[in-house]
Amino acid sequence: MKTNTAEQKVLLYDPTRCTGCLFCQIACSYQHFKEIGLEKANLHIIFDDKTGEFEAIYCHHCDEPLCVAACPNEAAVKDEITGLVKINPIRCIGCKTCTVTCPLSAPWFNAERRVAVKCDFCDGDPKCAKFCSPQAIRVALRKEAWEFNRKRYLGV
Amino acid sequence: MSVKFLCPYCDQEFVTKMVLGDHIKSAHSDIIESAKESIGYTFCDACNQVPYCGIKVYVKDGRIIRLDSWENYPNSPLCSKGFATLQRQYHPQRLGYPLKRTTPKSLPDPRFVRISWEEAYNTIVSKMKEIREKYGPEAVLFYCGDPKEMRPAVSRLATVFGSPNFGTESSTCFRAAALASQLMFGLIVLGNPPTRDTKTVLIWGTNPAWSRPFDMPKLFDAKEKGAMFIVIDTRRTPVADKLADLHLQPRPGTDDALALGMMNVIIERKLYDKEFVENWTYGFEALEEYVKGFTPEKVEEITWVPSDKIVAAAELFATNKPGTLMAGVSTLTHTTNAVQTVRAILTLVALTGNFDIPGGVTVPTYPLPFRSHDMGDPDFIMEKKKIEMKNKRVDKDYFPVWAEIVHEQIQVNLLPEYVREGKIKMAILFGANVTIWPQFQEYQEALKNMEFVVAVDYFYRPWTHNYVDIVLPAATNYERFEPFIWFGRKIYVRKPVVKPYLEAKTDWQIVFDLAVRLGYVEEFWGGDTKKGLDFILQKAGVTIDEIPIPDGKVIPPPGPEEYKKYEKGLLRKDGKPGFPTPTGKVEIWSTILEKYGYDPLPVYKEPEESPRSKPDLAQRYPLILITGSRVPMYTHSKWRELSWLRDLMPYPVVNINPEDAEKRGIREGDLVMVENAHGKIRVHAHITYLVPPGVVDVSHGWAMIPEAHVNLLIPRVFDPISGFPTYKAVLCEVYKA
Repeated sequence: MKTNTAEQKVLLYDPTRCTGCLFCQIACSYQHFKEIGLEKANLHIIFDDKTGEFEAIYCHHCDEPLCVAACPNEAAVKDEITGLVKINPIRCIGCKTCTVTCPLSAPWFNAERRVAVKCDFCDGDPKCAKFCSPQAIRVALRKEAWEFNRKRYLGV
Repeated sequence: MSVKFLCPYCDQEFVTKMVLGDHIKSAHSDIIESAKESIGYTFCDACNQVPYCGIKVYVKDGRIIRLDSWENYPNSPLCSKGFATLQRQYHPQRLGYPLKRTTPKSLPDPRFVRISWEEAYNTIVSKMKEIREKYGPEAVLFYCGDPKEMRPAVSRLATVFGSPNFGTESSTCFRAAALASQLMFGLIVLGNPPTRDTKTVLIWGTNPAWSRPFDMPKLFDAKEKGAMFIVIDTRRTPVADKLADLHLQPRPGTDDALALGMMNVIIERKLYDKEFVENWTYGFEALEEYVKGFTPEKVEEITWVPSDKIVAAAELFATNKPGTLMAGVSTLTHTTNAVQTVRAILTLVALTGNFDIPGGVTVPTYPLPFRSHDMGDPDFIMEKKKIEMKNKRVDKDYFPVWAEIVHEQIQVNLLPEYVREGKIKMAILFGANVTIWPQFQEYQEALKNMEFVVAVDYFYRPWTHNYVDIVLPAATNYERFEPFIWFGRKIYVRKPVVKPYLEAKTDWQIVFDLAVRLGYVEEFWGGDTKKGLDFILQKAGVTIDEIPIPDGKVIPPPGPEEYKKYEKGLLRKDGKPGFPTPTGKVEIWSTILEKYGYDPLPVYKEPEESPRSKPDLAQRYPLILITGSRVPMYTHSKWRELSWLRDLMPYPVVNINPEDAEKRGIREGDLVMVENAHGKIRVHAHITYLVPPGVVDVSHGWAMIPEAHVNLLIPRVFDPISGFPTYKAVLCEVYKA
């Protein structure tokens, strides 16, 4: 059964709660690579030291994912049932097209494995949200995320 | 030729992989069962001693394979330090065997050789007996560094052995703030996170985002419910950025003046809680007279904080009640006016009547009968006997107030003096790092000049262990069950999840083994550490085996939580209303300080080195140096061995404001020299708005990079009451290397 996209669970980032400890990136790299490294993470926190502005780059598991549309070998697929966008490392040929077409560059090229890697939502239990003490990044329904981000960016 | 598949367990041959698979599943099910993952629980010792974040451990074939957070546990989730304990567990450089020095301590190369535990124990015990015979038992110093979990056992051994000289690294961390609070309230009250009722939160000199991340949800929730936040911090920390309605950035070391300025506003405008001040404080009139000199304009001149902000903060904290305080324990005390600074801040709590009201600064009504600050209970460490032996304390002439109030430990910061005077001849160090002290070469020299020094640690750390005679390997938090821990009235215990690495032993076991060999069989339950823990737990009416893992056990309180306990006689041991101080009131005028000739009021004193106290020196060294501030990936000097953490922060930096950097032609990542009258170090520059202009913040704890150790820049100047060093207010200059 296809899930209603508004009811799909996605990640939601609230910059007003983020303290810049980067434990989300650490938890992500530990989950996927069994080591602690800020580069090997599927989400990235960027902050401006002067203004104190925070932003997070992470996969939104789009309704109509550009990475899926651009993939020449059908490695990037959107799961009909869960709604998650994943990259199959066996089919991936390492062409980096998805890393360029994604507006956020959420998929990234891992030089060791020579494939593109991206957020797989930790199969329903995202470690970034689990290990974020102030709950700046958390799991929310897509409709909540819509509402939150509309308020944040458009002010309505 | 056909390919055959061999069963790895019974050498039988099979034609296809599938048949082999079926065979293994049916004939060797027991082996498959044992190779499955099992789950264990432990608490983290990477920060210690307060957080004790819970770790869920996945074990396979006797090896830890994965870590996760302990669910439904008060302090979680895990952070980078917690994850890195897995790398520590299997680090190739971990100590696995007892080591003995083979060269005299005057030579730089110790040439350690492996010895047996039997030999190590026998050497230590015979040395202890020899020193006791020659100089008396008080010539042996017992010291606990970090992690702190062995403190009660070591403290008990010290008392039983007859030495009151048990010291810990709290001599530079928590104890001065606690001492200040004991002088005022008779209790250890250093504030608490906001509750549902809190309307104002005063965060003074602490950055829980990096030091206590598990407290952050409470703070953000309070903010969303409409609580106002006053953050007082020289640095623009994440807490100041995200939470502060008012952010005051005093010059380092002038928090005392700022608190007095706020008191001036509160008293002048009659905003203080008259009922509480009249009935429950001692010395208000003297304070009223003293703070008259601290007008907001004068305080602006001293602290660099705009006077309107001082007025606004004071008015907000005094009128928008209830308000709570979260005070940094070792930021405010790292100046030459340590105790008085904390006393001034706590006076604010008393004046505004925020003590022990719902949503204010509270103490639990029915705490479990264990103490968190030394992780034990007074009977286990035999505090009565320690008080009897008070005259043998080495610090009693230097810091008489500390010696009177702080029964459980001595002030060890003057170790070189104690050794020079021949009072300390031998030391037993658990998790010690001598480079935590300013001008640490003198402390290394002190270890060298002692007759015998034993160290217990996870790793061989040359900056300390090059100066000792025996090094013993300790077991980590995955390999030991001692001690138990508690949150409020809930007790948690753990079990070892894996066997100790090589010959490592738990530090409690090492203490108990030594005690038994010294002949204290009865006092140490024949060497059974479990019985020792049961002795502590009997006060709560449970034994260690009765506490389930991972659920923990709640000991139900005898009554409901109460407020204004001073009115009901719940604070004093004799049951009378009031506070457990000599006058029975909150002592703004401290009778104990008066007795020993110190200033009885919480007075302002300029730091020993500052642009105001030493203007000539400030011309040569115009920047103010602060050090010892936390970063998310390290706790002080710990775990620099682990590459997982070093990847996150590979070298020490000096945080410098862009304005100061531009003046000196410094760019991001440049190697720079930080120099002052006491020494110079070479570190990388990090240009950031974290620090205001005129202040630089150098990372601490980098003993593995000797030319970058910031404690070379800190003078050996101490607070006269508590003996705390001045890590947070010295002068320096930065220039390109």
